Amino acid sequence: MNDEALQKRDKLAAKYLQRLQALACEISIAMDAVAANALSRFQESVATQEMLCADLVGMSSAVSEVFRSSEQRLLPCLDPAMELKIRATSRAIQELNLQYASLLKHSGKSIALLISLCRSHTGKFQEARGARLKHQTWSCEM
Amino acid sequence: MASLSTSLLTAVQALDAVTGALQITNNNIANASTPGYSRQMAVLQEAAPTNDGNISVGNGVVLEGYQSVRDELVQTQIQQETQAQSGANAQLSSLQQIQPTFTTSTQDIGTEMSAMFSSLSSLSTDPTNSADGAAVLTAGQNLATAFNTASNALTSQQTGLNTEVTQDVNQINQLTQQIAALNPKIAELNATGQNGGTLQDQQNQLVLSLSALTSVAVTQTANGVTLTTGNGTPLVVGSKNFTLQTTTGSNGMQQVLDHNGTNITASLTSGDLGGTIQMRDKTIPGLLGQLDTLANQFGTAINAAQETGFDQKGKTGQNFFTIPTTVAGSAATISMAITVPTQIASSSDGTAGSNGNLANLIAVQTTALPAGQTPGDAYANLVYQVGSLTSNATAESGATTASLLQLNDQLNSVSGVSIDEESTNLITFQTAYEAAARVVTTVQALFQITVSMGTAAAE
Repeated sequence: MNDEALQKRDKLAAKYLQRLQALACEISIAMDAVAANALSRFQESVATQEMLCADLVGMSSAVSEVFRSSEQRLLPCLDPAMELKIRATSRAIQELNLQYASLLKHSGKSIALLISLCRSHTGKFQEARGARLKHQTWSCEM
Repeated sequence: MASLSTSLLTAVQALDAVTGALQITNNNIANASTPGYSRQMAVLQEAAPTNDGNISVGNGVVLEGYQSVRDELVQTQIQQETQAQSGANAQLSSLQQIQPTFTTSTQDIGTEMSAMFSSLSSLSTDPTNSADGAAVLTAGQNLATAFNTASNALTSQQTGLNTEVTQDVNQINQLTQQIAALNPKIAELNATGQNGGTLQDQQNQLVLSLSALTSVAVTQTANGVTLTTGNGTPLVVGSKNFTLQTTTGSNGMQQVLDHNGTNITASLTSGDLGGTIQMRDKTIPGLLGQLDTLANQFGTAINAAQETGFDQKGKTGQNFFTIPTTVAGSAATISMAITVPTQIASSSDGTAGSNGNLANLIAVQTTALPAGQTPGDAYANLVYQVGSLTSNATAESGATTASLLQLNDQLNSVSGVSIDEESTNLITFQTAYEAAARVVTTVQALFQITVSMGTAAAE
């Protein structure tokens, strides 16, 4: 009985760690994509983040249950190396998440302003004509 | 009726226009890799037609002038983000220097505090043991030194920042002078239809450098760029620049005055100067205030416990620490008041072997100070605050750097998409940001699960 519970708990912890590591990786990818204006890469990353988050949230009740159950008290402690990895990954995610939130705030402000500019100047943008005079910018020409 | 001379004039005008456009194209190619260069374009305008009776005859095209292709909004955003980045960097740099003092490593206040209570516990076994008594005095001295060191670290940082304020103001004055000098030149070139793009680029670079120092509002006028600080203090109007000055305030710190002598220090909130002032006038005084409160209340609590007992000679316990009567400066000046082990008020009844009062001294460790926390918790809170401030400044600095990278990419991009496509992209980006923001919230919630998991596993 104990062996089974032990196996279940350790397997869950390993899966949880793997998901956390994947999430940390995806947040880094998303930040790079924002900085590079790589829209499709960013969208893909956000979709993966959403999937990982849904997975992690789904696992959360199982994790809480396993680690707080009376059965857990009878089991040997979680492998310290594993626990250390979970804690370290969790801390790394928190740091990344803080930066991510800040980046989204700053970048979101720019995007909102650019959208507002495009909307308020509809029909008034001066676009260069002809192939050689086609001055190209990422956003628009005023 | 259109004459031959009119036709020739039309042809010459067209030739001028095309030559101008070619020059601009060459210039654009030559400066493709020049930092801060904005592409230029020829502004071609249909010449006013000549009316011959009821017939209107076209006069071809004229070169109206040159125009740099600038996305002013992106440039404004770059200026704003540069201000935010410089402000965050100024705070981060300062906090990184303060942080090592507020750790939970050796020789910090928390460690020395624990060491002092441990030494008091050891003394309670035999209050007459002079070696244990000496250990208590050493631990007390170490704790007082830790308070002094932490206070000095904050004060030194504040002094350094104060010097930076003067340096920043000098740089701002130099930059505004250069920007103002370019205004009439650019206005003159623009008025005569000549190419002012290069000077405009130089001016933009100067404005960007200025943005790194302080918050500036940029307005384009017929006389060139007008610059004001965040609160509307003019810095550059036309060819004139308005210098900022510094003066020593009543608190001994450099205050920034505008050209009228009005103190605008508090209104400078971003850029290197804003970040420096924020650290110097708010963050550091806040931390120093908490440190002084902790030193004063801790010293007072230990002294009070000491006075309830008797020393080895049967006399009422005297002050253990010397602390000033006011809270301000307590951390900087706290020192040992007693110098020999026999002055430790171990006894509760005046007999030499009694250890009854040591319990009162040790109880200070677990008793809440008037500020509401135990000494250990109050210090831990201070450590947390410094860590949190550093962490936030790191995140802000990293985010603004990435955001600047993105904005510069926008400014320099050669993707060649249309405005419609751009608008669509922007909205798609915005939608993706909203989805990402939900992930951020979820990740925050997930952390609690991991924490509880770790706690349970550690139990």
